Amino acid sequence: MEVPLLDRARGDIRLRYENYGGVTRPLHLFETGGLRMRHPRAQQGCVGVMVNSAGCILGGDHLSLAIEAGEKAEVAVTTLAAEKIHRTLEAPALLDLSFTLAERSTLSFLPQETIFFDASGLTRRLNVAMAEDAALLLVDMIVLGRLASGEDAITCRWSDSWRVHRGGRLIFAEESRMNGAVRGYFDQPSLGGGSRAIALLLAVAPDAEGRLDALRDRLEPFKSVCAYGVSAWNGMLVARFLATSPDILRKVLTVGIGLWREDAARLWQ
Amino acid sequence: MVITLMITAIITHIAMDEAAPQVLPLFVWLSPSFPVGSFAYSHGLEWAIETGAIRDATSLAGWIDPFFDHGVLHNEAVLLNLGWRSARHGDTRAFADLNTLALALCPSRELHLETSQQGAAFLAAASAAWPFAALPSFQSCLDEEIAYPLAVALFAAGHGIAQQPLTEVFLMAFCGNLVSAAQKLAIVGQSEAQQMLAGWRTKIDALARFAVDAEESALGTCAYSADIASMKHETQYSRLFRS
Repeated sequence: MEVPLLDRARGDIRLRYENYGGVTRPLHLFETGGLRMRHPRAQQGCVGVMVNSAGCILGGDHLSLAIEAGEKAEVAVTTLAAEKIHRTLEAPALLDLSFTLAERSTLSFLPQETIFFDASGLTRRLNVAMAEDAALLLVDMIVLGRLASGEDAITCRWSDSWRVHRGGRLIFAEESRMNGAVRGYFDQPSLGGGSRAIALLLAVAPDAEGRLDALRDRLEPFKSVCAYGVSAWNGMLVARFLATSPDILRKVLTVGIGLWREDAARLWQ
Repeated sequence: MVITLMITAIITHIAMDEAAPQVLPLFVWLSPSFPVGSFAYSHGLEWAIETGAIRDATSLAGWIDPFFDHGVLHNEAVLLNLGWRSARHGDTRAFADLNTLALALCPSRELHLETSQQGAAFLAAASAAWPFAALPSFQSCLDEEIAYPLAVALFAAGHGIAQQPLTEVFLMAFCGNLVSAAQKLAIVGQSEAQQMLAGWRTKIDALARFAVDAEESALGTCAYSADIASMKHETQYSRLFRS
């Protein structure tokens, strides 16, 4: 007799944004499982808010989000709440992200933070295919443990595999791996150095490198509370952050995002 | 008769090649005097020293140690061996794709500079002095840039150098360069530097053994402080190094 595998959640969103006479609207929305995309009235252009109705991600879950921005479409996508990765004895959860940016389109993917609970596992794959003159802004934040509950020495399995192709050519890749007790090795000075919140900001756009000094200036007031670095090359602007406090890192990222969006402070409320 | 002799000669040649793998070129290519300018790069150490994160031999070793499992040494060893295998199979397409991936994985502008400048210099110097039959087909498939471990892998495969010694010497040279940077910045003395290198022998051996068969999925790091140090180095006021 076949014994069914434990029933784990599958969620899938596929949608396309189009520019209709200067206004970007969602189109061809496909949703299944526990994932939904909402489009509340936004301050600045079209904003999609992803909702995970399960409220968390468990081992074995498989979620995917595929977004296409049509020619000249301008959209930002965020999430309703922090994504919580629960303890699991099973395989890590799998999150697949796929973004396609047509000519002169802008896509900002600005999810709230992902929180790893003790003994949790998550594998994320991100694939971006963008036109040479499209603009991508990606801000991602990871928190290791439910720090407010005193869970600051977790064990987790985290694997990120990111690929960004511009004009058909691979220009940015990120392979992050963490497997084991955070306090055991991530606290070493050249790795996490005692931090519990990690973030990456990636901007790929014709004007991305030109924003290097402006981003450095914006972040300057936070240099004593958050370790960060900003760099630009090959038409990209990249910033990396480490902080002991997720609250501080959220604030720092909000200020950073403010360089691109006036509604930055409202996005994560 | 002639054909038999030729086949015998080829078989003998292959057998000799297998029996006595070359290692000598490694000591030329990975010596600090090979003209790739390795002395100009500190891989962010100069900033970590500036801030005091590295201040003596112990903290220097503590900074570099995690690179074997979770940082640049791990990825370089894997890329070197992936590159060696695709070059050895004559798979120019796979080799070019790996090179693009290696460059895309660079975490900052200066680390991209560090690998691409040394890669270009290695390719130029080795092409002039150490050509091999399949070299032109690889040169024509590469973009304008080549990552340093891929450049080394290409010539090692072309000259039939075995993966294990290649990886060991490559990693020791990388560590040697880091330690030498720290020496120039007066963090460690000569004897301490040499002791540190000797102490990494076991780790180098183990990482090389792992990397020989490693697949692309083995790539992966979490050395964020080191990445940030290389970014901070860009605006460091007074500096000796280009990274």
